[in-house]
Amino acid sequence: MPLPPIGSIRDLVRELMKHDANNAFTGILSRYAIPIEDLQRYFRWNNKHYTRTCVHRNADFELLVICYEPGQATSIHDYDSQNAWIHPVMGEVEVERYAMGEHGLRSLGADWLRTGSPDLFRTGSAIHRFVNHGPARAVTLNLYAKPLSRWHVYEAGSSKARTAPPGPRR
Amino acid sequence: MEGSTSSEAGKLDLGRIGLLLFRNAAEGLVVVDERGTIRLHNPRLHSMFGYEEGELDERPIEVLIPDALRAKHVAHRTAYHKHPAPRMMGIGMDLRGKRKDGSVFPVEISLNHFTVEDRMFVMGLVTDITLRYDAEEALHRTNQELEERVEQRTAELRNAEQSVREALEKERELHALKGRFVSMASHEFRTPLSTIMSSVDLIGRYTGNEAEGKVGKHVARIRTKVREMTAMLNEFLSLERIEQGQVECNPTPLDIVDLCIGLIEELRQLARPGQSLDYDHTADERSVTLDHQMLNNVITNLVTNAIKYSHDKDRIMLRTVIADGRLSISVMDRGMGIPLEDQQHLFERFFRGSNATTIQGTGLGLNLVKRYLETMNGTIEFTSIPGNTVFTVRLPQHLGK
Repeated sequence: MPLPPIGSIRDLVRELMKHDANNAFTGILSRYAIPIEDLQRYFRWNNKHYTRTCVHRNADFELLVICYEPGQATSIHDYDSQNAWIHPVMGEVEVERYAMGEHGLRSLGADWLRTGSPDLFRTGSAIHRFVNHGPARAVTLNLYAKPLSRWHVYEAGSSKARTAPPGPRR
Repeated sequence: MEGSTSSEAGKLDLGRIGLLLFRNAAEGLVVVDERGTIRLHNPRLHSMFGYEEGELDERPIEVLIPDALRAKHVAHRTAYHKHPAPRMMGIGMDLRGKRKDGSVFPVEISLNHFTVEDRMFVMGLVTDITLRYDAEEALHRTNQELEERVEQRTAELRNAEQSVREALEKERELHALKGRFVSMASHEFRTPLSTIMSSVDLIGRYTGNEAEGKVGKHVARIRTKVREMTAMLNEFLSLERIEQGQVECNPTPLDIVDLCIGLIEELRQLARPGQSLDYDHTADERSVTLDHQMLNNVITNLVTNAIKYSHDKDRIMLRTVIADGRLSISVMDRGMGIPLEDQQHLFERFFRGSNATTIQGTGLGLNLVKRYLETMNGTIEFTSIPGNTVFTVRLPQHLGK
């Protein structure tokens, strides 16, 4: 018998706290059915850079809400967390994937994460960045297990890593 | 008391006069023998000590002495009998008499001696100086109060003078600071302003389809330059606020990893081509209680400096460690380094390294960092050689309000 959908942030955190990350988090997130109203209290917007807001953090995982204005992007980065699940909850973001080669970063292609998409983007330790090409705002719910303690930004000052051209603003 | 003589002129009875003088004297008169027994006294003496007439006859003189001084008085009296001489008694001391009711009052006593039929007697002239003593006490108290008031007023004046001096000094420093700022701004703003001007000129000339990309490039350049100028102004305003005591430390609970990742993501936009930024936190503990804005400014300043003074493609590392109730933040770069002769001046206001004069900066950043850290009970130190500079900040993990 399938497990019931998870309809609130509080229930999601409760479920995550009950289980071991590697085995259960994908299954838990597949039951995601949280209305956007329940997440809105974590939305923060900044016209200079995307924002990160912590929903919950303990020794095993951290749950963040990431808000992108049109045109905003993360750096090209990786981190130390073994498991990371990125779930789009509003708008859409492009995930650009990279690998470090002999001559520097090499693009591995890109994927789109769209609201309502059944698939979560699972990053692990891959080099990547998220871009909101606009025209609308975008929000993702990011789950890291364990919580991040290292963050490496590649080619911070190169054109590749600069913020994407701004799209139409609200 | 016996004694009489006569003069040829008046046939005065001096014995009688002497007796009258003795009886009516305004001061107390007492005569004691060699054993200290009162042999004779006048009415003023017994009234002064609160006795009835005749009550003091044949009593030891020590009944008129306060209890605590009696034993000493016997010794003084014996010594006086051995070497009698007219003198004041108890010079340099506050003499006290004891009344019949036990109360004590200040007296002044003059001593003299005489011999009658080979027996020596000592006569004392006793003056009740209560009124004078009280007046002196009152005067002393008044003097003391006056002295205290003068001292207090002097201290107030001294404090006021010190405050005025400090205010003047601060005013002078602020004036100098503003002077330095005008000089710095007129020099440092010139380059970004001319860049902005030339970009604006070029944007005005572009036409057609190919213009879009070029316009975007110049808009980005203008943005960067405006950001640099804003940062310079912000540094100066921050310093002015600190100088004027307008900066308060408000510690709040923070997640240091969140803060640092957020800052790295913001500051990457300032990075030079190919530079990478690496952040690493050591310890399970991530929570600190510090002033958010000050901590932000400290890390931003150190990472921005590392970016500015490093080369293209260099790696800049930010590390945080929490251990034993202390937060340690270090920023490492592989840039040009700080010349040895400049290192002792690095935290002085407006100081620019001799190898950094061509790089945009106000010379205020590290001074501000130091001031913020002092406010949060923190310290900063650094080591630097060309190709390896490390700034290390140490702070209490949890700062009380």
